[in-house]
Amino acid sequence: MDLALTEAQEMLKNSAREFLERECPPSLVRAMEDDERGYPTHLWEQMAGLGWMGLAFPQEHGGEGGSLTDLAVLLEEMGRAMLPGPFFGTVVNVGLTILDAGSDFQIQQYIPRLASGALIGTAAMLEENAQYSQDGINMSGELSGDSLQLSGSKLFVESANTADLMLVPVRTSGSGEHGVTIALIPGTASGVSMSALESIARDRQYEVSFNSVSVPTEEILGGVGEGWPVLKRSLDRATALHCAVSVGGAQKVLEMTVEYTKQRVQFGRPIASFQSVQHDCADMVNAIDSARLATYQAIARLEDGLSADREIAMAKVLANHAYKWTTLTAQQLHGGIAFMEEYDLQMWTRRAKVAELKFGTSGPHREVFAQSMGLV
Amino acid sequence: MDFRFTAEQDEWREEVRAIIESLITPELEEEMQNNSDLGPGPAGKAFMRALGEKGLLGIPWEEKHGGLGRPLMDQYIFSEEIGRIGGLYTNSTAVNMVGPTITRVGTDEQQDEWIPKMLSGEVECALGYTEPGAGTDLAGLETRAVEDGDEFVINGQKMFTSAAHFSSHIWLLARTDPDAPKHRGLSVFLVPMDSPGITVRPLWRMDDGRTNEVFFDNVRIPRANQIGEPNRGWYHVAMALDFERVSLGGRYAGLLKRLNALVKYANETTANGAPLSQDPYVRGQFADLGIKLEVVRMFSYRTAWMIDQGQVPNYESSAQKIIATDLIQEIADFGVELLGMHGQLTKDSPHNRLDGELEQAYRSGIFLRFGGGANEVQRDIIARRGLGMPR
Repeated sequence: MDLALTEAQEMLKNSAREFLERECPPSLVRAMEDDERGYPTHLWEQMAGLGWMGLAFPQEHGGEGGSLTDLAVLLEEMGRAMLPGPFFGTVVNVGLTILDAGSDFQIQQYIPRLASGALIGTAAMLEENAQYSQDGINMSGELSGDSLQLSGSKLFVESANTADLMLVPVRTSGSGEHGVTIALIPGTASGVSMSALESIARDRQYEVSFNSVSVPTEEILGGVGEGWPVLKRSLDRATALHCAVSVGGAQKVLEMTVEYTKQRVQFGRPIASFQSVQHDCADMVNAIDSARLATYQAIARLEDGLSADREIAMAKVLANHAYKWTTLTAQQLHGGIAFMEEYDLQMWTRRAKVAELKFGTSGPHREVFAQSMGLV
Repeated sequence: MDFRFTAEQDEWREEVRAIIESLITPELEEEMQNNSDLGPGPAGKAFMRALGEKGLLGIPWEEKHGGLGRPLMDQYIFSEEIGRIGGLYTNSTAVNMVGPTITRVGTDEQQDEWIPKMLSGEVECALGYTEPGAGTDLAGLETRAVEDGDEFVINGQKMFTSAAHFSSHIWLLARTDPDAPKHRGLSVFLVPMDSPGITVRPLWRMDDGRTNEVFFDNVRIPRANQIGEPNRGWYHVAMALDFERVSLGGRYAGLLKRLNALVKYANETTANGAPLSQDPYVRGQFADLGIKLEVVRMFSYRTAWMIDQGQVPNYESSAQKIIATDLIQEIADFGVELLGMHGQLTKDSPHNRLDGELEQAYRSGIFLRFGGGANEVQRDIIARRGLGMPR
């Protein structure tokens, strides 16, 4: 048992925090909410220069050879800073999935460029039914000769506007776990169109339509009809890693709240001296620590190739609660001032709700955990 | 990071499990069945002393004191195995709270005298803190200890002294300087319970357990029984309370056993034509409780791991105390609800379910949320020590 970050991880955490505080302050996040692109290109380039996109990829493919835990440490800092842009999609949803299931050709073709930040990726999984399950994949794909023809539309596709490479699961046959096929499609492919979705987090999400888009079969990831296990592993990784994003956001909100309540004087004393305020903050600490421990436990199991369904489900339930509840309690303790649009707290509050929805709300994850307890 | 046990730790668990099981006699089983709420009887005490002979009362203790010199995590594993069976007496107050305090604040002579006797089970401790007028505001206590030559003379009353009726000693906090500020005029003593002038009267808890009030009428004890610095008793007791919170770790295994029994019940019991386990509300409740139980486990490991790394848990032991004790109540609450009308029936009723354990657990679960430092005070500690929020 070893519950500490390594020295290198501590360094990564500190340098990432310092960099993001300088280069990605809340004012930038706020500006990007109304920006068409959604993130500044120069920030992306700086991150590439730091090797962040390559952190978790093997050195032989142009990465830094880091672990999933290293990546989680970085994502925690990104969640803290509400980093806008396509990092998660590029590295986690697309990059790690290709690394896991890609052919030699696909790995050679894509990983070095994803790792260097030259290529931006996104996953286009969800459809109108918005289910993170095998039954959610209904968009049709038809094989004819050496190509796969895609028609239909995908929802909640993040940063589709800047994506060079889309990972698109479709149904080529059957139902349920069988017959899911994953296609890798250039963002600029002929027949692809998109329209923006307006959301509570004001981030860049799109409905992406595919009108007879043709994909050569060498761009199929994991085999024809064999896509579901690949997608399941991809979702597991993404779910666990996204918990780190939530934990980072929640931690920052807790710190802001403690700071504010120490400054805010009412009845002649700082409101931080009131027990009711202290108890709310103590409960935030417990919620965040629970989520963090569960998150790193789940990621450690994934890293070691162990079964992790139970641990991921638990991490997601705890992270959903920690982030959302911390932001709502923070709003309450701040009162009127933070209800104002110009105050920064509300940006975390809106993102916390989205983090709860992404990769499954607590309901389905509780069900996974309940099954692991032996309930029939 | 690595959240798994090492192969050595797994072996250790097997080893202690086998020893514990080998020491459970038919007499002990019968005694626990009939007498469990009143504290250990002769068989329970014999079991405890047998653990002492095997070295298992002194797992993390230094070898010079008769301990095994093993990491605290090994103590946790032992606690889990003890908790898995439930109702076993392990002299925990002496070896997990009082003893560690004596090794930090006692003289060499005091350590040599008391620690080996605690690790053998010869010395057992009741905690003499609370008084009728001093509960959460413990420093307001009024029991006096007055120097008289080579002795102290003690007068006053303690309340809710849970183990007083079966312990050899009481770890007593008393006022030695009435003129000092209230936190700075207290000292701690180890007082033999057979000292002339001590009277113990039972108080019956709402869960049928026994606690006591203890009266001190001119009780004389040797000066050597005053432990640590005079008038620093408050700080010594605060240290002992930190150790107590850490020792709550063993709750995991007992709670897991209870939850598993409820899962089995839900799977096997039909309501409105389907197993209870298929009710979405029931499944959601189970999942929340199961997840919280895993949090209890991780929080317990966190404090043990920190101590083994040479760190001092700050707010973490308070966090562990809150999470564990709230959950004890929540599981009992849900358990009774799951059993429906049968949930109210006691262990003596032929119509009860799961031996009436949940009904009893619902009553007893109330205790630990305020006992051992009320959870509200633990939240104060997290906010003040952990987050630096002001008084």
